[in-house]
Amino acid sequence: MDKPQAKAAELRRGVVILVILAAMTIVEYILATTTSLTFLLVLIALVKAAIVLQYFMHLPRAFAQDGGH
Amino acid sequence: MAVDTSHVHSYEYKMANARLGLWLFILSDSFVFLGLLVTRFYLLGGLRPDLDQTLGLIVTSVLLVSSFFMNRAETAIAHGDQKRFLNGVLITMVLGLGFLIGVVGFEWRNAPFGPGDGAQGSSFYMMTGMHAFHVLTGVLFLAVVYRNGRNGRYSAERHWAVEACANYWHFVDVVWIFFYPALYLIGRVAG
Repeated sequence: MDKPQAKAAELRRGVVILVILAAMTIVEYILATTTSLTFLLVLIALVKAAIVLQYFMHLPRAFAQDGGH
Repeated sequence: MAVDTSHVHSYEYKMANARLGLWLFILSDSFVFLGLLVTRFYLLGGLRPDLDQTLGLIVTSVLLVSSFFMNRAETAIAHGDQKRFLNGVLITMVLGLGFLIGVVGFEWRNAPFGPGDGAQGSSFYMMTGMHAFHVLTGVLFLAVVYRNGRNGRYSAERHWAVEACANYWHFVDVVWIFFYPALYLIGRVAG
């Protein structure tokens, strides 16, 4: 994949992540207002946090051998 | 025997150490928020503060979208796109300020309780206050990055400050991912 394509792919991935997080937030709100399944809300929060840690914060980079971007 | 230390001064080596340092800072800061989260459930249990659900959803959405634009900005500078990077940082700042106005300007003013009103008040204002302080410092960090970016300080090969700022901003978002359900969604409204 050449550089412009790589950039476009990464930007697109950011949009996909946003849509996923937004959808999970809506589901979270609906679940909270219609049920009392607290463990589901905790689970959704954990998954959202994991998604942000992986795709936005790039946690795996902290363990990479090289220090490049 | 002489030890080869030539790599120590390389940008990659310094950045690897800086990255580790930042994550250790984020880990230690997490304990502050974890403590506040535990305190909320210890004091209130199955109850939650009486808050405006619409406002809560709005500020949550604003912060979520701000994280998207911060990621967009970081991706842009990683590919040398200065214009998209600067726009992304600016939009993130505006959204961050919007979040602060929503929480401190509206939620704090409209809440039917004050900071001294028992467990409900102390939990809510301490959690949102500590988080809002981090959002404020995040906005200041963004302002510095924006200014340096406009002066051409960052490139695709060297933009550690942008990565650090982005990670700090996303950390603030992750904290709210847990604070939002803890304050707005979990439990029944306290009388």
